Amino acid sequence: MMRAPDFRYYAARSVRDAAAALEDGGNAAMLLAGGTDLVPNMKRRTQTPALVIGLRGIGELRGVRAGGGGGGGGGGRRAGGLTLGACTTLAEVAAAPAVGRRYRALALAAGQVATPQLRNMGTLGGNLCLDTRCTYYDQSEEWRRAINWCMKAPGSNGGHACGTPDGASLCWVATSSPRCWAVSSTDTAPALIALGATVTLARVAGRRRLPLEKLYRDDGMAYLTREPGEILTAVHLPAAAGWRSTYWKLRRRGSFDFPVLGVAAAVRFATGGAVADARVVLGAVASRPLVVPEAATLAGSRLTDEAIEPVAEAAAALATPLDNTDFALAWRKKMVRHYVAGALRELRDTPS
Amino acid sequence: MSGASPPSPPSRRAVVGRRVRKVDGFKLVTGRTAFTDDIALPGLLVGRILASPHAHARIRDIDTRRAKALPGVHAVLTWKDVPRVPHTTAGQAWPEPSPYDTYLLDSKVRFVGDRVAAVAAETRAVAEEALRLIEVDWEVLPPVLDMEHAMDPGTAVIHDEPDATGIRDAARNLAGDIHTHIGDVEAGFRESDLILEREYRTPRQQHAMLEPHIVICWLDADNRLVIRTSTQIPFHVRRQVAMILRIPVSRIRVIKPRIGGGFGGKQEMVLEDLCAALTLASGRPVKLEYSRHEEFFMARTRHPQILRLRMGVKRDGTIVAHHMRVLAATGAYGSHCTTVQGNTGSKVLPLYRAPHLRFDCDVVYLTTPQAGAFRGYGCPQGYFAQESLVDEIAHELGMDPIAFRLKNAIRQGDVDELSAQLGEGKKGLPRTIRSCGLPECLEKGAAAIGWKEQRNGGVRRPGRLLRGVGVATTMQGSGIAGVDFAGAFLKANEDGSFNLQVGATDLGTGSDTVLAQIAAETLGVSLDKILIYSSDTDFTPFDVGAYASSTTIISGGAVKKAAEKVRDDMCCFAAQLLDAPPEDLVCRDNRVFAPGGKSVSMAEVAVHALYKEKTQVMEGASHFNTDSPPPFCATFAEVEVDTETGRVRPVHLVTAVDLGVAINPMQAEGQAEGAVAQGLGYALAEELVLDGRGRPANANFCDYKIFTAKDMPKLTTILVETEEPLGPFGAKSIAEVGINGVAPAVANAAFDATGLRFRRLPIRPDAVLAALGGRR
Ligand SMILES: Cc1cc2nc3c(=O)[nH]c(=O)nc-3n(C[C@H](O)[C@H](O)[C@H](O)COP(=O)(O)OP(=O)(O)OC[C@H]3O[C@@H](n4cnc5c(N)ncnc54)[C@H](O)[C@@H]3O)c2cc1C
Repeated sequence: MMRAPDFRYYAARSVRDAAAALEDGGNAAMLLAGGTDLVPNMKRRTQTPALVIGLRGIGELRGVRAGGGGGGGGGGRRAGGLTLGACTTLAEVAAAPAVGRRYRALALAAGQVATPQLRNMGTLGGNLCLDTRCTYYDQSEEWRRAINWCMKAPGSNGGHACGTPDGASLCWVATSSPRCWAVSSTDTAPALIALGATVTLARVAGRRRLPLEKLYRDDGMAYLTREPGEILTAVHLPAAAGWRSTYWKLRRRGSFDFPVLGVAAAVRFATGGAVADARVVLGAVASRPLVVPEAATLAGSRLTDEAIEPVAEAAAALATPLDNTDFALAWRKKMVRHYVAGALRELRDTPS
Repeated sequence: MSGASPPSPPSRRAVVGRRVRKVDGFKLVTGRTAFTDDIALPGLLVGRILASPHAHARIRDIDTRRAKALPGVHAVLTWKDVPRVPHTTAGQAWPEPSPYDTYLLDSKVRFVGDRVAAVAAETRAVAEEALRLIEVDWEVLPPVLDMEHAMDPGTAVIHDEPDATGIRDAARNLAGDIHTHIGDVEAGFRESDLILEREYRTPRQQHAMLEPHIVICWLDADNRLVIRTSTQIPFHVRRQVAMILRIPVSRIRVIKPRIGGGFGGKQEMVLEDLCAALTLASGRPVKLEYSRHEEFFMARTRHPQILRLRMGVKRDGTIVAHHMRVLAATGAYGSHCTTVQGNTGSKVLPLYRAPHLRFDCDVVYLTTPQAGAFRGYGCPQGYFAQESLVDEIAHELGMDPIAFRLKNAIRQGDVDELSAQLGEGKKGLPRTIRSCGLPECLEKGAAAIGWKEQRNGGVRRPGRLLRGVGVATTMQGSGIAGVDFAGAFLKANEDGSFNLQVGATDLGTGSDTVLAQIAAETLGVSLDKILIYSSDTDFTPFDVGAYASSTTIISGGAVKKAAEKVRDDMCCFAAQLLDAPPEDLVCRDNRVFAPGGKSVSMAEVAVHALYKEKTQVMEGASHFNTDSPPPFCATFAEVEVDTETGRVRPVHLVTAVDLGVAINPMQAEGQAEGAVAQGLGYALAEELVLDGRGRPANANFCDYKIFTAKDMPKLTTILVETEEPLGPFGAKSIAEVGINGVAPAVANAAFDATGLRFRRLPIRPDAVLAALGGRR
């Protein structure tokens, strides 16, 4: 059994308390929600915070409540919506009636993360902030030592709690590349971006709210735009009237596996049946979730195969899978097309 | 969901043939302390191994001074500190047919994960800190990772040490080879109307048993070395450790507690020698175990093979000649190398009664994780190839694949002469088929899968989801003829219970239950009257161990003999109480009956023997067979192929198996179903991937894909019972045979659905899609 290194644990009592601890802890501190991502990383010594700040005891971070959905990019529909606390477990999210059919992509994505046990522990906030993954990174310390480390986890003595590059060598996926290509593997982020979600980040100095899409950066190491002292406290969904959504996950097995590809699609139909608005977001094919801009071309169409095909094609062109996860990359790129087309056809063919 | 077969025909047996609960089930489901690790020893140290980061390297120098100086460290061992005794880690009867090419610790490493040094310390953290303080001066050598080029001139020599023995040609990295034939295949091919030649490739599969390897060693009050270990082979371990550490067998006691699975991975001395050495060096109890990560590449794998098969048939479907050529990789060391590969020939080719057979096989060393014994023992590779090829030939001839198989399959009364040529490491014994339920397996299996209705015919139809069905027929053995043997010991207690002591090794297979059933049936007592204990080299008789599907037939045979002797003894004492001749007495329902109906309880007989006659009723017996009766199996698969993703999804798997008489049908079904789960992993998902430098890329359960409950298709298991004269109560075996046919049945079903042949395992969606695309 691999064991976690020694660390100090602080069970925060409130967001304010946690934010203060996080600020005090500086680079050596990390947040822990369900721990299903952070703890395995600590065992593998890819993340070695000296101070772990527990969020699970903070009641205000848990639960799903109506309202609060306005904010980023919701068009004229700012009222209503839904707010989900960052520490709501994935099992709770998947089962919440308020999520259910209205935000179906989210329910499907949350319900397909890992295994039932992990969904009972893992949280929505932890899933959104999930560390990026790579064949050369998600390995034991001995294994990584043997390849002389990589830039995302350069040695065990780096004290790089938040993935800051120091003593970096290179990226084994693309050895001439100046950047890290680890893959964004969160299931819920593509779904939530497609649903137009915004998030609240809190720190000692105050709060800010930004579209979820803006939380991510195309860099396997600094994959979040979250500032060091910030805590993700809530996810806000705009009102869902008129929208239909789905999430297609490609993985090898029916359980357990991280996505090899995630496709979230959301479409709003105007009265009369034509598409008023459409979004397609890809997961697990880059260091961040990828919004497919060509989805906008679906507006006005009736989601015919002819309308779908160029969008699927564009999505496949956008995806840049690399040789650092399961399956041949050419195949994964091909799957993007099928999955995007399949997801959109499903939205067309399922009655609302 | 599993559909069980109808219950076995009513018989007068009270215990054998019944679906009784596992004798150790209760303690397992209630989490009682049963396993190797479930013991607390004062002063226990934790052992850790420094694993090689290089696939191939020489240790120019190794400095352990800083590690030894670390507080809490009690022993640090390198090759300089231990005896150098060439040996094999294969758990096989002496003299082992595997090369002696392995050393407790060596100045050379031959794969990523090979032993460099070992440490025993007070805590795991200290032990790991000590490992980091060991300084190694490496001379890195070129890795040898491709089996097709391992024998090329100029390739680095993996075993260049002078003291290894039994290697076929070390200078060419050739661990062993096998060349044997019956008839004249070339003449056979000249007589053939159709000849097909195809190549097949199989991956490195890992056992992925629930409990990784673990050993705890200590010195007892008499200074004897006690080895408590999760092993399938306690008696071989005792002999091997004695040899490697140069201590007498009498100074060693091996205890095998309950085991959490092995699948052949524990038919091998993996950690016992090193843990014992750490105990001797420190004088303290030491625990040495693999983490799951280490288990994947520092334990054993299935041998990857490249098989080239050439088969010639007559137009009427009669197989005339079959030539199988195998290239296999044993990895860094040669344990089981020629025996596993020998089985690829000897247990596969004779399934079809061709007059001309030829088997040529090279087993090469690579600087990769070590291969070893694994459920099926060479047969899953051989049957994947053979059953794919005969399917293709049947298709070419326009014959029904079942009819083709039935026409050619070995049958009752046949003598398989190839087995005589291919013993384990030496000449073997011919195999006479005394029981064969294969036709019935095919018939019942075909009905269960819906063979006639579900067959698509190997043509590509339009549509996204394509369905098809496939079949494979296979056999295995029941013990190694003339090699495997076992002892059993029974004694009577005054309450009518009996202690049954066996060296047999229940590794989760349920053999404790089956052996207790055999004793209970023979003695005419209920199952709760048998107190089975397995195994402890001090207290239980010798048994070669749990492998080669031998336990029910070989250890069971010994139990039956011992129980018969004890029954006869009990009857002699009962005769005194019943005033009737002992030979007229019958034991049943925990009583002994005289012809007139008068009876005494077993307890009364036992009390009489003990306290009146001052005699402990106790008997031992040994057993071996000069033949290895094969169980037969027909595996049917229905699959769905997604032409957009290339994914092959198993829909329904049917296993119809002739296992002789099922001693415990419930457990037999469990074995068959488990074999299907492991076989599906082999067919579709499992593969230990090594990168360009020989490092494992997916040594964890997230990335190494075993089938999960959610991935399992509908299962149907049909037990086809035959009476095997050589087996106790007619039993043969069930533990291995079920895995052999899964991959070929799936591949044949995928062909039936798409018209495409898949000759490389695992059948990955990316490869399937590429093939599908190529046809469009
Ligand atoms: C076997 C296995 C399979 C898995 N499969 C999947 C899968 O299929 N799909 C998938 O998406 N994930 C998968 N995961 C990853 C993980 O279980 C989930 O992503 C889970 O949702 C993480 O949530 P958590 O609360 O446990 O996160 P934690 O481990 O507690 O935290 C994860 C990261 O987020 C940070 N963090 C947590 N909460 C906050 C917050 N409120 N504000 C700011 N930062 C925060 C932490 O510091 C840490 O860096 C798998 C994990 C395992 C072990």
